[in-house]
Amino acid sequence: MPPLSSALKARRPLVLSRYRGQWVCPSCLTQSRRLHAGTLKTPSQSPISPPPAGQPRSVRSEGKSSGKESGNSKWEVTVGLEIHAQLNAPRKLFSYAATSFNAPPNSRVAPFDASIPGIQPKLNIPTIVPAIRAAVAFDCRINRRSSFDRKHYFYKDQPNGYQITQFYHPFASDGKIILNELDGLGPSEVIEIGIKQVQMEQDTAKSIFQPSTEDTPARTLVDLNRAGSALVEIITTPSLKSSKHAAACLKKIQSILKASTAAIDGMEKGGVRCDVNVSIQEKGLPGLGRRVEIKNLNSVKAVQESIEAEIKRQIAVRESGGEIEGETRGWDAVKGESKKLRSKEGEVDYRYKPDAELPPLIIEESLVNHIKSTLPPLPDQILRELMNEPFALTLKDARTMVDLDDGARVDYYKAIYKDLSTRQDFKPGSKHLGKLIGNWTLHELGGRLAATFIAWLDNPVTAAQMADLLFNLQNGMVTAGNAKRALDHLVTFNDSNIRVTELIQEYDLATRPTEGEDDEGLIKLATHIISEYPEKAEQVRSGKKPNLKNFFIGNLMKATGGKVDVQTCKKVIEKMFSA
Amino acid sequence: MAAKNVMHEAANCLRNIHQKNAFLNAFVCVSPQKEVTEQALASSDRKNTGTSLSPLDGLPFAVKDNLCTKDMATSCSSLMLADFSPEYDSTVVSKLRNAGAIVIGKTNMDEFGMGSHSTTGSRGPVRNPYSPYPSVYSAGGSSGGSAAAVAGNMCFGALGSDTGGSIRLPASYCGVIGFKPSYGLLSRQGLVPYANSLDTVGILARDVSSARLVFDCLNEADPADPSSLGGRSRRKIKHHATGPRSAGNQHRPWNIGVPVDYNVTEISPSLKSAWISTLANLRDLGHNIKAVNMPSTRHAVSSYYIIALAEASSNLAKYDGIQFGPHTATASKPTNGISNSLQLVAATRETGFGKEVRRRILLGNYSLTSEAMENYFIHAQRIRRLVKEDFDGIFSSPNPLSSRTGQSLGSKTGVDFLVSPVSTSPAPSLENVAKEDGVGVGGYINDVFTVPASMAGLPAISVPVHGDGDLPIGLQVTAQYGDEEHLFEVATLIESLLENA
Repeated sequence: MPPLSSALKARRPLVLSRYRGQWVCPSCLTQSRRLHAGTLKTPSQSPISPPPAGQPRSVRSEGKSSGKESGNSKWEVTVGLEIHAQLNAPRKLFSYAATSFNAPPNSRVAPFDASIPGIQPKLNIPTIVPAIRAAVAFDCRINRRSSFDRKHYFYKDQPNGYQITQFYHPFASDGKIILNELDGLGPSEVIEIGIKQVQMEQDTAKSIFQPSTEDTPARTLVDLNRAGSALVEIITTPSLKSSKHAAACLKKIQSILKASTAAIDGMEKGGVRCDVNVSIQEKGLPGLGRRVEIKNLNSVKAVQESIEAEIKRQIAVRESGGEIEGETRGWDAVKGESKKLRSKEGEVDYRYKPDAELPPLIIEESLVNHIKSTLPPLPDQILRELMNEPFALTLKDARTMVDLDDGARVDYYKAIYKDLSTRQDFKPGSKHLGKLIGNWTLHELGGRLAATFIAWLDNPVTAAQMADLLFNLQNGMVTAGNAKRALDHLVTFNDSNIRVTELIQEYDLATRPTEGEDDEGLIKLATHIISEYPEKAEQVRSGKKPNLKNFFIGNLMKATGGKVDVQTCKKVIEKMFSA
Repeated sequence: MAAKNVMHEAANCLRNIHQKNAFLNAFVCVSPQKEVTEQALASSDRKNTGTSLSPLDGLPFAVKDNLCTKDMATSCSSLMLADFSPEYDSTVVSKLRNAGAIVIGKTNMDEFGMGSHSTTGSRGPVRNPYSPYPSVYSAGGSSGGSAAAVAGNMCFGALGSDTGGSIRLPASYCGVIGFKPSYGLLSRQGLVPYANSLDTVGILARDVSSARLVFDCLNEADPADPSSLGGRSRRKIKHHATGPRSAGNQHRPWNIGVPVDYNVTEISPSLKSAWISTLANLRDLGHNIKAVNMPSTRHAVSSYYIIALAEASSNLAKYDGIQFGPHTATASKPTNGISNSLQLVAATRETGFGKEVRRRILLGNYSLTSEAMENYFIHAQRIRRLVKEDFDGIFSSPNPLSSRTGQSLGSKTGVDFLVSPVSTSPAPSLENVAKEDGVGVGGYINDVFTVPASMAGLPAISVPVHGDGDLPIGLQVTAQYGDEEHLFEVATLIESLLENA
């Protein structure tokens, strides 16, 4: 492998004599960059699917049950998370087999993945790069020298009888993430959650249960496609104080993984899985209570609900004079309750042991620095940027823009902003430009796409077209109503060659120049409309239903073909009635 | 070897296998006679036309049954792998084949290499070709089949594997050359692992020069094996080994070390006299004999077993009845909180592994449990480092891969080689082996001579010497890491003592 040898030339690792060090250096990036462009396209989102359920959303928006558990009580809650995320890597961690999403069962399997005797692991160095990106994004210390260990247990989805992981010397440790108002906390609330370590490890195979049929008895089939794919495990310190914080933390971790392009699929696609540790202790007492682990949670909702249920259960046990047992539990999302999987005595002793086969991993500082300097902006940065001038979006809009479509809407939004703000003949209108573009991108265009089941990836309106449209709107060349009609047209005809100015001309959508409230033509039209609805006009005049003015304003606009803006129409109607 | 001799050699080996294997039980699988003959014919054609592939072209080799071969099953003498037919050749086997050598068959062994007499496998014990009728003697283990095959002239040479003496011991018992190279030189890809930080592919042959030919054929970096040394380290070793001495210093007498810590009371009188007379001969030839201290030796064996068994318990975890192993068990209802699938695993491992393997897995698992890890496994690793430092401290040349240099005593006070026994006595009878089976750990004292070189990854070779009985005896020469070159030289010298006697 070229990166290995070139790195070896640079300097020799201080490693046990019988090992060659596995080096990771900046030249590995040439491979990993390629991997990017390719893999970003692969996760095929079905065009008509609604936004996936597990997407990070503001905690506030679903915080019905939040905060309940820590309210009155004398108990202090402590939660820690262990998150497993599939790394954005084209090949498996220790074999050349490709990673896969939907490949036919057992079609992405190298001999090592199938634990064929005599076949040894070989670290795929490019898989380390997205892992380092994640660790850097979590503000971790990258350990120059780390090593691999075996974690033993028997299970049908574990063909080697052990998982290769980094138990004793992980490649990254002592990081942190900050939760704040952007994550649904109170305006002045800021909490720091420690990241104990980030480690590389192998994913398991998938076992698929097949119920019995007439011909075959019930059986379990094993698909090795996932076996040996690269995961990062992110372990937080036990420092979360509520289920709400745990949920916010999990969302934050997912969005950071996504933003750093370390892991592309979220929980909704099974790309991220989470275990939680929960303990309670009487307030004021030192130390933590005995911890209970809940395994294999696959949505933020499950994490939040299972923690709440577990806290309730533990408090009930303690308050009736019982003891909490250290145990492992599983969560039944349908029933909304957890059940005991095994107690501490039945706990598996994983018999962790350094893997004698694999040399230590040496990560050059130059690589870490390179990754730091090229790390894409992280969610908080992007949100803050969008919420500040000149964009000034609301948190809700900013979050929607960031969370959906892997940030593609942010790029679209910014392209339009840049286009408009640099046009020479652009006269900024009464509307705030940043907000205007936000509104038209998210709500006008977003709404139309959603209504017609068009995915953002297939967005028919180019940024240039949208900029032209808003240019005309903001310059008073077209009214909001007619701009919307033009947008309808652009969405329907899906043609990047359509020029907005021509469209306005062709369909006669241009704003008619008026002389404001004194415009004779408008007064004539208004007089005619008012005379057509004498009863309604009377109700306005008598002051019974002043709001009916809007009815006349709307009709006046309609009569002008939408070519006169609402303000002018309003003034005309006001004048007519005040006369 | 001339063209007609290639045909002769192949025919000879096939005949010997036919005549002797029923008794020796050295081979568990023999290539079809037709194929062997065809390959020998093709080789002799090459020789006649001057297109011979290598000095090994046409020579028949036996391969231990833990090295994967794509045309023959690879069972490791275990029921667990009774049906395992690899789809690939291990790197060393494919190198042999590419050199024109003929794989004549797969040889019997202790199950997964776990044993010292080739008696623990599912294919019955190997018998020593030198057994005086009617007694039956141990061929040594675990590469007993390979050693007996060489000793019985059933092949030109054989591949084996050595974890703590598994080549050197059977070579000594069977009176052949048994060579364990430095760890990391020969590829382990395709060697079914027992303890991967110790496992070393090695060579059994009739004489040192043959062993050397095979070594030269196999000694190459293999990217498929992460523990195989890369080109840079290999150049460093080569430079190191050929460096100082070849500089006009070739006739300097050897400094030969005798580890006093190896002089255990258990050594039999016949072995002791063979050791002493060989050292005396070397001294008479002008070489210096020096006593050296290796204080970590007495802890080496216990540490070796902790490390080897811990690694074995991990490496053998994959044999769980899902992909490998007899599907004899049927899942019943969960009992004692143990799920169906775990019961299936337990039942398969109960029937698929022999008694010795089960014993070693249990011991290995124990030393890795969270309560024992610190006391046993971690401690054993520390002792392993001490053993290596012992060697670095007595050799005249520093370990070429060691990050620390200059810690050796230097060429004036250090020694070039160690000469020691391989075992405490010549081969025991299988009857005695059976008697001692499972009785304490007394048998492990036999490993005291071979285990230290394994722990330190050093090259070591067992060379037959003149004993006083009917049974052969070997002595072991150990050299500094990567110093195969000089190891072969001194081994040739000791070999010649036997011939001249």
